[in-house]
Amino acid sequence: MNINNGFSKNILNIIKKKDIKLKPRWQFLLKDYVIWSVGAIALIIGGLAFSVIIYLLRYDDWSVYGQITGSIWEFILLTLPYFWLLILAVFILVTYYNIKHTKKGYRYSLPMIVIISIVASMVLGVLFSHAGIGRAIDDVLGEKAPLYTKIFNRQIIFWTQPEEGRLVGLVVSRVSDAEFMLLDSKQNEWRILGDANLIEVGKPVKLVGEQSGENEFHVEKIMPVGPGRKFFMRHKDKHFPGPLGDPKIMERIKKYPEFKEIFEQDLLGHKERIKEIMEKDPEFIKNLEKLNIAPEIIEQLQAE
Amino acid sequence: MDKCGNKTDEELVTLTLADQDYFLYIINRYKDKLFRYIRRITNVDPEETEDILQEVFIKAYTNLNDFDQALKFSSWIYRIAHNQVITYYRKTKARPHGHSASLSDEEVKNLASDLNPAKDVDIQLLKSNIQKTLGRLEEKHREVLVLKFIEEKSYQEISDILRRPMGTVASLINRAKQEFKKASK
Repeated sequence: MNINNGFSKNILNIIKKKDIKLKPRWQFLLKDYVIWSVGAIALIIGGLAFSVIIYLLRYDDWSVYGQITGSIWEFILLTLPYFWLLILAVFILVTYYNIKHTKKGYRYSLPMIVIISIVASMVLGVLFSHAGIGRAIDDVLGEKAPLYTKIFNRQIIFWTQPEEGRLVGLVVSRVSDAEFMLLDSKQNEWRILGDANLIEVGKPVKLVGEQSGENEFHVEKIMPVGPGRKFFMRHKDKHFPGPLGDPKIMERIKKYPEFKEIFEQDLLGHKERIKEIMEKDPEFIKNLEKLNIAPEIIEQLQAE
Repeated sequence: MDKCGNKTDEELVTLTLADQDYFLYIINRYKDKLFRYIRRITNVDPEETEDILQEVFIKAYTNLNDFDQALKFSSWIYRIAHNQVITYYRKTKARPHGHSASLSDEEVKNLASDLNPAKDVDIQLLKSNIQKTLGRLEEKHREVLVLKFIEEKSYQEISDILRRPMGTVASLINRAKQEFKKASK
């Protein structure tokens, strides 16, 4: 059965009468570009998430899991970076969705697109990781992000369990060769008994050992902090705002000479910021004097 | 009318983009094929089929700038017809349940021989009942059989029309053939 010849002319007449226009090419191109761009951005975010995962897992203290947990599986479950895995999964899905919705995306099967998305995110993640981007992201989040220990790096919480023999914090003072002081992630002060020659004041450390008193910890193994190291440097920021800043930290500056030394270096390292604070807060210099900051440092700051 | 008879579909698209009158040649080239295709995958009467077809050509014209020259134009316009049938069913809330376009002897032979009925089904019986059998199949099975054995589309073309991977098309055809054999018994 065929259609009569008037049918074709009738359609052309409708197109002309109703003035039906061709949709412009740019609209289709724009849609394509949006799909490809969102897919590419999702792929990059997935790669970034994977680079952070690599960084977090690389420094996950695999060598001491036997000392700090019952089994490798318990250790993995407790320390897996779930947030970043979730981000990776979400952006792999977004990449998949966008590949599927490209002009020829339907030609590829679901498993193939999923594998392409995963492999591409991982390859990018490895490249980003080699470029140090995973570390940089963790450093920035550690320094600035709210809820860092609850969301981005739960290893800090895992390592802040002294009753389980794990402690992480910032070394604020070396008392003797066998004793030093540490501030944990909740700003509690700990007396650490162990080889103080292995630590450096102003640097965070992870400790494996045993809690021997209310705020006393007997250390067996001292390890450097990889992911989260900048989280322990947040104290630096707290010095600057306000007339006295965080009173707890001000007290520590007075109490620990090494800590004060670090603080003084920080002041000189942030001259521009100090200048801004001095303009806004005339009491700032007086407060520095109250903290017994070296007069030559105050002079240098004022001279700037 | 015949002055464009030797032009390819893609050339006609290019000409239409410059002058809408050339669209007439595209309509003439595809109206009967698409009319039969729509009738074969649905159960709507000829008047409604013409309405659907009219929409297909208007959509094809509106979206002509979206036609990807890397694909076959016939796959592209069959895809629009496929989508328009789905839209029609959504609007009318009906589902296809029959098969109303008649088949030529050649088409019946093509379908029957590929389904290898010698062992399972009597070929004469299959020939006489083939339209009814197709009508009893699920729409996705009916459509893929129509595309493969009646429209004689390649796997790649069916993949482009249904927007499914080729592997999925192959297994869909296999399942449809099995369903066809079952339904014809």
